[in-house]
Amino acid sequence: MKKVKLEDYIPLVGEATIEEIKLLAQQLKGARVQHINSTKTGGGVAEILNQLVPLMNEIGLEVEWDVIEGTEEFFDLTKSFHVALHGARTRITQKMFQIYKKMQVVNQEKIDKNADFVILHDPQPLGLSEFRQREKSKWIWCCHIDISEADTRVWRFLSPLVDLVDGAIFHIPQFTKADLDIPQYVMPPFIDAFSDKNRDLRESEIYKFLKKYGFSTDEKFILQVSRFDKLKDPLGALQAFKIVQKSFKVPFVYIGNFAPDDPPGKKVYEEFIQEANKVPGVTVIANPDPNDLVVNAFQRSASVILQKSIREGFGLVVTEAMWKKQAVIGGDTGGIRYQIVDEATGFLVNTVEGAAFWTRQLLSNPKLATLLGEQAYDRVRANFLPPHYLRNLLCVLLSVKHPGRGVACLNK
Amino acid sequence: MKDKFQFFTEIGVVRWTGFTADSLGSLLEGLRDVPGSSIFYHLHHALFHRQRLTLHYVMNDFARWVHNTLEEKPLAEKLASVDPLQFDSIRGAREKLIRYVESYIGEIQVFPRVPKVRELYFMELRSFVIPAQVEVENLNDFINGLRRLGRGAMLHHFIEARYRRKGKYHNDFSEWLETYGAKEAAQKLDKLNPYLYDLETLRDKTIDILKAYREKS
Repeated sequence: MKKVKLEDYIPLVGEATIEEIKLLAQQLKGARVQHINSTKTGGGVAEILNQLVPLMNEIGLEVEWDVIEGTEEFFDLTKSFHVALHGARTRITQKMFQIYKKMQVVNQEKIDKNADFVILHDPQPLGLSEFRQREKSKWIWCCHIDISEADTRVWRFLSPLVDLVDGAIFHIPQFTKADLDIPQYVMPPFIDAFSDKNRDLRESEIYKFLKKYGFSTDEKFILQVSRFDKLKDPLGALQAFKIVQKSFKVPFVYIGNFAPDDPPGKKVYEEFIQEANKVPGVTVIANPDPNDLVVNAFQRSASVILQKSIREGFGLVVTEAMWKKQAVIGGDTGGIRYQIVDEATGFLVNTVEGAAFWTRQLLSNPKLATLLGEQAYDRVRANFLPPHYLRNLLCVLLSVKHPGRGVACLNK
Repeated sequence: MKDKFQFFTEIGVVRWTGFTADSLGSLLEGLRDVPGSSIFYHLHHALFHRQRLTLHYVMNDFARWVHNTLEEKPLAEKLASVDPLQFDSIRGAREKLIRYVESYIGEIQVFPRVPKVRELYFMELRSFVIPAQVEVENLNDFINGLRRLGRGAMLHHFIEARYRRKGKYHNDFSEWLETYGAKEAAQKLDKLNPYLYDLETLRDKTIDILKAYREKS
């Protein structure tokens, strides 16, 4: 795949945004930046860094990306931390805290002692903050998950480690933490506009991937794309469809993934299939192949897209749908509320009935759907693409380098 | 020889001040206690919206939250009417906001509260003014410079200038235009109300005024 350059984004974000990035980069020219996370592949953070690191290098920073090592036990416990930070109940023991600290000792050698900035992503490498050399570099913790309702045992353990860095980054204001003593920045994540999941598709490609699952390009359908996870409320989406079905003969497609080693996901999938089989007109596509292109084709062809989540992080799947000029009907929660401007780029709903009501409105009024879809696309184009994230991140680097409030003049 | 004009641009990132409001009472507390940078941010945030998605997006953030979340529409209308053009300082605008809320609340001491997810987060912009590599000495280059630079240049030269300038004009462009000999364009630009547009539209309006002047002269 062709390497994406910053200038490739000019048609999408405008020349002025790219110019601003270059001006910020001049202020940081040659700065050595180290990103540290827990994996090079899979997951949202790896996707973000795969995009971000080449762009940061392109503008004159010296950027490296390192991954911490860990035993199976360590990664199991960080999964438990992840669940607990999301506010769900899970077993947490003192031994887990000890193992976490022990792995940080092992990984401290990964720290680039010559880095001007060290950016830790998510909780897994956060404990490295205890090994920072304060005088040499500035440290940032980038939190990619919603920790607003975090389990207090885990947060009490992690928050002193956060307070050792110079600034934390969260996706939306509601994810910030009142008990932190350091500056907290807010910047939304982004989607990769040129990836298979989001790039423009040729008609023939859309045709091919719809046909593979028994659909045609001139067929109306309602869609939800989500993991098989109770918090995405697949059963709620199905109930909304059942209400819509009383007025419209339009099928419902649910595309989702679950891993064989994910028992809770498998359980939600099985429960959903059991219910879906009772309702005519429902198609469930589990683990599609190739995932990204199939999702892209279905998102582009859907008449209405639901994201009936009860709880959500930022919800990049909504961003992806908005990018395809779709008016999304989304649960009024987390980052969905931040993205969807109610009645302008889609609809925010709190109930099954609300989801059904707006679905019927959009099905019966395609002009409204088109208008909102255009505005949804513009909202993504103006806010949720890599150059916006990069511009914000460079400002955060400057901000930790020049602590203070309000406006600072830089005269280089 | 005519003076050169050095363009600057202002670019920032949003930061939480640590203050939130979940009711009229805590809104009032926040308005009294947050740093001035937060009042500035919420009064000007609407200028950053490239698209005016709904009519409520033209309101300042305080008015929008009171309108959409607290649904106290009469107060929202009053807060929306706070026009930064009428004040020389953020302090003046802050006092006006506080007076409106105080007067609306009256003697009420208990306020309905909204859930945490609907709270107003008092944010602020940590921003940096950077010299753009655009220095111009004639009108054509000035227009081209404006085209190339984004809303950051408008924020610095047009919006923030209002609070920092003590001279005849409220924005940096007009002063240079007068020294350049384009007094008419300078005056016209100074009368432009920046709060009626987002920053990109404001830039386009500025360019239109300058182009019209260029064609006329």
